[in-house]
Amino acid sequence: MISIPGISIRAVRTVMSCWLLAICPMAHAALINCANLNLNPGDYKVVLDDFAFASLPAKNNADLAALKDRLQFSFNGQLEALKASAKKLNQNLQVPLRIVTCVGRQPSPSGDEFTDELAEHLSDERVVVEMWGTLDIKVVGTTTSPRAMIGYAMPPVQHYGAGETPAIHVLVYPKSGNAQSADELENLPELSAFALVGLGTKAARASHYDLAVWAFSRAEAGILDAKLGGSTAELDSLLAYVKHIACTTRARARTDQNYAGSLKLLPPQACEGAP
Amino acid sequence: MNCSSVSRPVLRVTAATALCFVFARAWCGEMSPCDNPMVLPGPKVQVFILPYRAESKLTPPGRQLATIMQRHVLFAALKYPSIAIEELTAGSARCEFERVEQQVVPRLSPGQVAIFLWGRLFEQGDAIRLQSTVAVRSKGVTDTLSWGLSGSAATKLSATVPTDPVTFAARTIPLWFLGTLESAQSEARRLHRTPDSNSIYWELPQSDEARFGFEVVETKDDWMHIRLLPSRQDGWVPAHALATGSELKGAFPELYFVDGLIGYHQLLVNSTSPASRRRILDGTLASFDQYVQLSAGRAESDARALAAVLKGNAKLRGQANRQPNEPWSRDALVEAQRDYSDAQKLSPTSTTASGFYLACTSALCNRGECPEGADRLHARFLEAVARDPANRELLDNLNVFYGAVERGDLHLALEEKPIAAQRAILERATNQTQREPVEKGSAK
Repeated sequence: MISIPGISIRAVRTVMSCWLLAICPMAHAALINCANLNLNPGDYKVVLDDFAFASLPAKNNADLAALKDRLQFSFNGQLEALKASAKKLNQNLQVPLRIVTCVGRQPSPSGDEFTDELAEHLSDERVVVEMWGTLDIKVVGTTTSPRAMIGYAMPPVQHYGAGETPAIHVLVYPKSGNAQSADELENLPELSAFALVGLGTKAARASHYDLAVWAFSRAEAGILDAKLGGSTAELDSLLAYVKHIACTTRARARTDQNYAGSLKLLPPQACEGAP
Repeated sequence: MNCSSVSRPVLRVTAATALCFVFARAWCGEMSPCDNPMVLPGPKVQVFILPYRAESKLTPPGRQLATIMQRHVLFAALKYPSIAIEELTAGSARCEFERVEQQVVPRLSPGQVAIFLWGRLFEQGDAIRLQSTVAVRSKGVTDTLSWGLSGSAATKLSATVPTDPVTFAARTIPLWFLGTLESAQSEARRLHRTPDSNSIYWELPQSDEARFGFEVVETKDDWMHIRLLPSRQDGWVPAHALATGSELKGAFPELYFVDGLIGYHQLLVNSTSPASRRRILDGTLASFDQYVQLSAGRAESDARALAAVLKGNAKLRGQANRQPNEPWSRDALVEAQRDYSDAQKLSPTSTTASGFYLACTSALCNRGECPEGADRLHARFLEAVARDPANRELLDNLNVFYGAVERGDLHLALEEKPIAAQRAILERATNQTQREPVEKGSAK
């Protein structure tokens, strides 16, 4: 079974091309539902929303358009990597993961629409991460600079995480970290990491311990890679959350009479570093 | 000499290359589009360079970069003894790896390896971005190393190099940088009459869209006598012309990775002389070292860890005078273990890195070379299981480890659980249905 049936890079680019064609409304209207979300209800999903310009000046800003194109190049690479990961996930663990594009859906820059109720609904729909973006001009004194605010919401973390870590991350690109290479400031390695955190949280909740701890482990690697472009308190918090929930998941597996997997081999472990 | 008299379409579609002269002369010079790539019967390693996909409009210098990249791979690879290289042409449809792979892999012979290189390009302003991906395929054979315990074939641990494509972080270089490469490029374009840099030479066309086929008819020291296809014009080129063009490889460390990867698979060719193997091994290790060093700080930890793993594997496979099925020497194991340990540091959550480290360390412990003690090794096994509990190879290796403990070949001072109980858990774990499809709706 192909893990991302019917969704091609080209289809995803259709959503991204809202930038290019400037057809996306600039104001963030009420969050519309995603028409494709109900297809294949048993699949885990990565939801990609539209990206929007924050203002008319932003829409007409050449530097911002250039930043958008650079980010799109990076995004395309991340998407291909995510597709490859999803394919492998399905082959190795028979876990289908789909990419769902939601044309016209534009959360606000800070993702205020992601209430607990919406997070529960999306989590029930097996959405592991939802991504959106806003393009804006940053003004400091008399200088202006283009920036993109990319939002990542992890509904399972918001629904089940009990506030242990931020479930919504809004990252500003270019990053301002001390990356060894300037290239890293405009890379987006976070997408896969966030998707894996959401997937792991969902799987842990469903007592799919092997899948959960594998996802958390790979998410940890992704977060560490993401930190190369600039560490933030949110990423640090997410890393601590991932380590902690991986530990508690293993502990649950050890004592679950219905589980007969290899996590039973492990000695008891105190789950330190709880957020 | 006027190579430009060769029509551009012919140049673009001609890509059969390198050292196929012994095995399949008839193939050389034939067209090699993506939808019908050539697979030569002789060379053990075949490199397929797919056209890089432009995701923006490219200026002539931008288009030139892809050609320069590919030519670096080409020349670096030509120094190996059993290799073919094809620069594929896209034709009307997009040249996707999956499509080429499906065409190539079924036609590989046992022992042959195909290496695919492809990527994306994006140019904006005075800079160009490039992201490369590389994958290795063979026909029905995995790249697996085994380590025997107690000299018994039944008690082997194994570790397998994953077949996942390796994607490198995108690189950005300023367009002006291309000018600094001109010297090396010029040298590589010169076909000398004799293997002497002072001899008369003629030059390949500089067109950034030119694609060539090469046939290596003989080698002498560091020089290759190559014949251009299909024109049959020939000359001598120094193999190091682009291989030492470190400027570009510094900007694109993945070129070192690819070079190391080709050398790594060349080590599987048994027909080479000890001196040749030594040279290939040294080059392979140096290339992987360069890649790891130059990619520091980049978001590609798994690729960096894989490079370290392949270094360790190369040291084992490059071991001189070793007969097939003969145990690895103690020194080779120690050397390899160091690389596997480095791989774990580069990517602490990588099961590949830990798998090779654990298997190699188990073999060393079995020989009494176990400064950390078998208990620490056991703990490392469990740490790996804690990260990837469904990894069958890891679980099988742990079972072999427990078997060695039960036989008294390894000694655990602190047994928190009876080994028999652990093995029973392992057996249930490997037989359980955890890998069945996740029950739909159960996660709510």
